Amino acid sequence: MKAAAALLLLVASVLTGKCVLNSLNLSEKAIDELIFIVDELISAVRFSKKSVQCLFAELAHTSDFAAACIGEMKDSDNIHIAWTRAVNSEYGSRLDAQTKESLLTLGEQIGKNDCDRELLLLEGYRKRFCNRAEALRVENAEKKRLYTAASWLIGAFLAVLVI
Amino acid sequence: MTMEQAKRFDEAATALGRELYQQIKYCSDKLKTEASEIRLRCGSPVAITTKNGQRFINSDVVLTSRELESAFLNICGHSVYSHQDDIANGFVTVRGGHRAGFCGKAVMENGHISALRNISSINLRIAHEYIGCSDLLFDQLFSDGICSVLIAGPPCCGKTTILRDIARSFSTGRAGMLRRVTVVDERGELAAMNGSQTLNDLGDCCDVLDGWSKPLGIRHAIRCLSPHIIVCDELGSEEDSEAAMLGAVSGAYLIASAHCSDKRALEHQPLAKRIVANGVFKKLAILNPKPGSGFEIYSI
Repeated sequence: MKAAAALLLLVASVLTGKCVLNSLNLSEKAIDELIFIVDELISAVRFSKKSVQCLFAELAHTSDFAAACIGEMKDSDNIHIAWTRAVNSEYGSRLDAQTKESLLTLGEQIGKNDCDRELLLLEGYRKRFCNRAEALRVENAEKKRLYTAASWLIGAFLAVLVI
Repeated sequence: MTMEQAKRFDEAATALGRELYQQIKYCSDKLKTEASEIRLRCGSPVAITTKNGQRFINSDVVLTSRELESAFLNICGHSVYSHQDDIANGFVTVRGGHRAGFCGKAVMENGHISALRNISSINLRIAHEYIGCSDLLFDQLFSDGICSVLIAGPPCCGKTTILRDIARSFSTGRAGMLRRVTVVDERGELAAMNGSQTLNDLGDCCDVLDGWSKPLGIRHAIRCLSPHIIVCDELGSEEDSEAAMLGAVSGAYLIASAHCSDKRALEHQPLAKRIVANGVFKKLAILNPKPGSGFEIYSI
């Protein structure tokens, strides 16, 4: 009975650790997705000249952020308002505060410039998101190691305690 | 028809954004029906142009530069870069074929306007579609066979509306048989494309080159679409004139419009004079200034 309880505690602890790791992976994926979105915006400004709304409508199947924006567009005809709502929605909870802030500022500025200035703006944000993604990866690698070790150790400790 | 015109007014006004639409939408159906333009000027109330002159809405509420900026962004679909070339030419066509013209500070680059800033006024011209409005003109122009025609007239006399209806008439077989029509819709006013579909009725035999410049569009039409008739709006440059020549010698008939108040004025505009003189057009139709108030036809 004790052995079973100990095993259960160990498994629960490891699973909790996995959940934390998953949330870290989600934040990495979210920022990668933002880089993808900015890349698509850059190519729209440079080549196809599609509006932000048209582009997001096309990307809604592949990008959660584009889907969230288009979802918010139903209530408002303004992409800036929809953008802010999307960042503040469930989608935004995947992002760290710094990235969220950058994304909100980008949403306020996007679509208001001619091609050259729009490209400068987007390339600036792309660089910012890439740097953040890099930093996040390093940060998360440390955290992942720590959480994995901690979850096993705590689980083992609790198991020993029960036995 | 009245409801249709009021609907078109609302469609155009929606393009200005929610805030301004709230101000405009409560004007009477009669005014909406008669309206040909919605004019926004910084420091003035919203004005509606009708055939009887200007009417102000909420004359005690004047527009701010922030509201004009917001209307400008709405017209551009919050993606100014996607309309950069149009803005440099001073206008953007919105959904439904309504054309918004802008005034503001020009940003010059290598002798060309690259952008506009400090938007000071916006003129939104409401596109109208009167099916059958060209019937009388059509019958008189083509009673002895199809030919290339230049339709001229002063601004706001209905050239584009007439041109669109002529395209539809050919494409629906009014000239005795169905004709393949190619519309070179540089400004997006003739067909008013929404994605891949036309919002205006142009019949079943009509191909639309949306956003193509006239020279490129005419060349492409001749190469790839084998049209009986090419329709394009507002010939106005040397390149347009040359493309019109090319269209004419290729065997397609060209129906086009140009700005001009009367036949005498046409002789004083070097480019229009050249277009008329180069033998592309066999007939010239001059529309009277008031829309629907008649026309004169000349053989060239």
